[in-house]
Amino acid sequence: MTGGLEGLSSRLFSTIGLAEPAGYRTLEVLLEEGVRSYFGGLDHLLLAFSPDVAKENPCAELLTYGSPLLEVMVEAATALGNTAHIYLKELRTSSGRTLEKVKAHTRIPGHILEAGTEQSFLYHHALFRFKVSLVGDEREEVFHDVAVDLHTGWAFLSLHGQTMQTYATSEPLVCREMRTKLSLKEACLIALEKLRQTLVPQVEANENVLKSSCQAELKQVAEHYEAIISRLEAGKARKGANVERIDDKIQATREDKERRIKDVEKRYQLRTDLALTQLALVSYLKMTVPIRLQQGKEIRPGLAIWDSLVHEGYFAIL
Amino acid sequence: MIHLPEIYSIPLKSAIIDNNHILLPPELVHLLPEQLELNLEDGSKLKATRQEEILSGKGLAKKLLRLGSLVQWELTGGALAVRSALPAGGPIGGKAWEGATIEDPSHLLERIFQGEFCSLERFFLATEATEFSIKPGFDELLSFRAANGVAAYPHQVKTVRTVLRQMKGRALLCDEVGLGKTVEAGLVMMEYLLRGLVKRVLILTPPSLLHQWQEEMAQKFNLDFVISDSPEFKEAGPLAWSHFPRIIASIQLAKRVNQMKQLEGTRFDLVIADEAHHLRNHNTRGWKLVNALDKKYILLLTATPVQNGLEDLFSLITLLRPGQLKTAGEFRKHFVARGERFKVKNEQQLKLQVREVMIRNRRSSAGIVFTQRRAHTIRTEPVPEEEKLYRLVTSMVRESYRRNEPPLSRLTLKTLQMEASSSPEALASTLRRLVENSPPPEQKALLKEILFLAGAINQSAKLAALEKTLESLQREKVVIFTRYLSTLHWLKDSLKHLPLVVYHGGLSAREKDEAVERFHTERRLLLSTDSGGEGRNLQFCHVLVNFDLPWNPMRMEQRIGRLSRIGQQRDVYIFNLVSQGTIEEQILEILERKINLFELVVGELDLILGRLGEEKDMEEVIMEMVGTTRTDEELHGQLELLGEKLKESRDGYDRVKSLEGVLFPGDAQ
Repeated sequence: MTGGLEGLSSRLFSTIGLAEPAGYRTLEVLLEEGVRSYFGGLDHLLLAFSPDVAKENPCAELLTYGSPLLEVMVEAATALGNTAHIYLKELRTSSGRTLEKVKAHTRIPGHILEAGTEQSFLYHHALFRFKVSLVGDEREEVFHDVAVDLHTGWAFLSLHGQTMQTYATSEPLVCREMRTKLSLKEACLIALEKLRQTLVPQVEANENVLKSSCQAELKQVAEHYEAIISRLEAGKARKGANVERIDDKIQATREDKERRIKDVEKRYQLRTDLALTQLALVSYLKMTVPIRLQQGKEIRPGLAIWDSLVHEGYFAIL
Repeated sequence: MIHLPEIYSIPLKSAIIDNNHILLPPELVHLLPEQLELNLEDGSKLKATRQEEILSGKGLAKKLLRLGSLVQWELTGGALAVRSALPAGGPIGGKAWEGATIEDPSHLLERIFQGEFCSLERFFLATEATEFSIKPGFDELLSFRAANGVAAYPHQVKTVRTVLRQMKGRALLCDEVGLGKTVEAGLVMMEYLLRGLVKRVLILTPPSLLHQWQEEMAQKFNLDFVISDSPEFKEAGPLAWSHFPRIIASIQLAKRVNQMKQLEGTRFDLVIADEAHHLRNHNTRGWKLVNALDKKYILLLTATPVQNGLEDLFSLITLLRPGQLKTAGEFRKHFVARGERFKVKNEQQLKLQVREVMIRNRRSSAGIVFTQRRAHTIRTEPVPEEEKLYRLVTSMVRESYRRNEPPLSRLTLKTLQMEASSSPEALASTLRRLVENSPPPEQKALLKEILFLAGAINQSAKLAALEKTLESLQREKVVIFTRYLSTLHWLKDSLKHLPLVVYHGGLSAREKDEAVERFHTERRLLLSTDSGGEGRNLQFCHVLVNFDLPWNPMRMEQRIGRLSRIGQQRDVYIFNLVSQGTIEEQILEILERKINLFELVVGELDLILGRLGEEKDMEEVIMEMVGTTRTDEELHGQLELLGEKLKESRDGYDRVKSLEGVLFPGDAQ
């Protein structure tokens, strides 16, 4: 992981300034003016990648997994790279069997009266990268990438990984396309719904586990203190008992119990936080076959679309 | 016949030439006439002319940009409709669905609409960077990545997971000595810190272990802790407990009435109590303090949870989870045999309940075998010049200690006394500095006399013994420890005919890495000072020589621990070189005779010294004896008394150790 950190630091700081190794396991960085605010206004950093190296370079800041500087770097990198328009080129679009492939993937709701010639069209997608934090008795963070086709509202999960493996460029690709139908906000809501479907089973499972652990611990705490209080109460009846003192003890025990119960409840609370960390437009060609469908008495135009990037087919009413 | 409209989109940011002109993509040029009218989405119209690939119109760019950064052009029957390809549609935030909230802190929707795109390089770099900040669930432990030189032993990995997952951060860690309870606690702490679940940590230890914990946290986990006896902590006054986020405090200090009041009002996310057997009695101030602390997670560490009876276990577990073992009365009734405080009743039931909060790894079940330590003391008879020098230094130290006059501070005197047993070179280097420091004339004369004597020594009985020992060890790899850099350099010169490499705190990190690597692969001897190499793996070597001896047995343990630790395959041989008639000879004799120092298993010394309850460092205690006694005999008597206390402590530990099997005989947990 340290090697990974050294590599990341070198690449990151080379894009937001100048970065040069300055000795054994150190990196000297001159930061661009625009990014200095992330690093406390500093224009220069000396990073050390091992505690020993940091010790011998008092001016160097130790960068290891978990160090605050890494958090700052991630924050800066994210802020400086959270939006993009990505065109995926050189995708091999299939020809000839588009309709069959779509049919194999999805049910087309109606009878196909006519199928036109297949043709490639440019499709735009909003690719949302959500950071999901499940915070309870533990904290689990995970990134979920959800892409939404802005023309049809089709949402899918695997685009980000594919994008990283395909020739991606910011050079525009201008091709014939379908009309977009969604605003970014609508696309985001669709993405969130897709995310909900993915996450809810896990959240519910976590909730159930927490609930039962919490109840068990609450019961234990309550029983423990109640037993102490009963014993104290019983003591009051004894001959010569200092009732006032025992009452004070009972009161203190009750307060302690309340404190414990609050503490237990707090420890078992579950929270799900979602943050949109990156958003990209991703545009690429898909094979499309226009079709006319008979749905009952209605005849409607539609599209059978084959996405050769994620190898999935879907259908849209025009 | 199915007809699809002709639609193309233009990313405006790259197309705008100026406010009145945009550059058309080649794909659109042949489709558009030279004179055209744009029907904009907002209902307005705009006349435009096309000249080759340039489209001109009054305020064209500004009007198009209102539609967003990506606009679609639709040609239908000669008309041209222009609309936004991706309207923003307002910000997002707030409730996503039941139990979940969503944020778009950087307003990404709006920025995409405005066409504020980063380069792809930065975009993908950001994606990569975020992977470094992700906090997975406890299935994937992060602490090993963040720690330095902490090997992932299966029993420790399992312990950390169990504490985090099953025990929810409230656990009694009772591993047998040497299995790394401190490391386990540190790893649990790191898991919480790295996930942001813990920010404020309080570690409570016996006074003698404060610095050891501080060093271990710094070395292994890169975490700075403030210790309760440090000037900065004291300067912060009553607010210190809430001011510093990570504190290591002596439990003796923390349980004082005034401190307890401060502590009770302070929230800690994690409390670690080391040597938690001191908290076994729920009527003590220590127990009450820990019980009253406002804490989210708590780890109690002890190798000996049961010392006075099974009820010790009840008290400890109640600190973690009140009610886990019901009330004291019910516990006694259900689990303690009548009249026999160590005998378990309803063993299976107790075992089940205890296992929910307690982990006890044993060496046998963890598959860990500590090899034997075999110590040999080589007593050398000093040559007359050495003897004379040593006597003179000791008498000067005693005299000056009583007078306590600068520049001969007590620290300096302790250094001189210990250097006198290390080498004349070590002594001379300090003396030179003192002489240059313009001491009073009388002192200066004496210091110069000693310096002269030290410089005149050209024969060393210990050096001769070392050479002989090394010769007898033939081809074995050997680490030679000395406390002083001057002694190290002198030894390096004296042994230059041998294949050696040096290692000390003054080397750079690269030089240190190289030194250990050279020792591993090609050199036979490693000359090392105490400092700087604690985290390095020297288990490939199993012989060490103490050229000089620390007064504090813990330092001795640290030297030995660099070789004798988990992973060492062979018995560890320790050769102690000691000059007859020195303080070190007496200390060594006491440590061997009273506590069998060299036969202790890793970690046992901590327990023995912890039981002493001594707040001062052992070196300071001994120095006080040296300075306050007039003769060697008197000093010997004092050291004997210290030895007795150590012996009592060792006996106490042995008694407790013998109870190890009492709780669940023959069981690993």
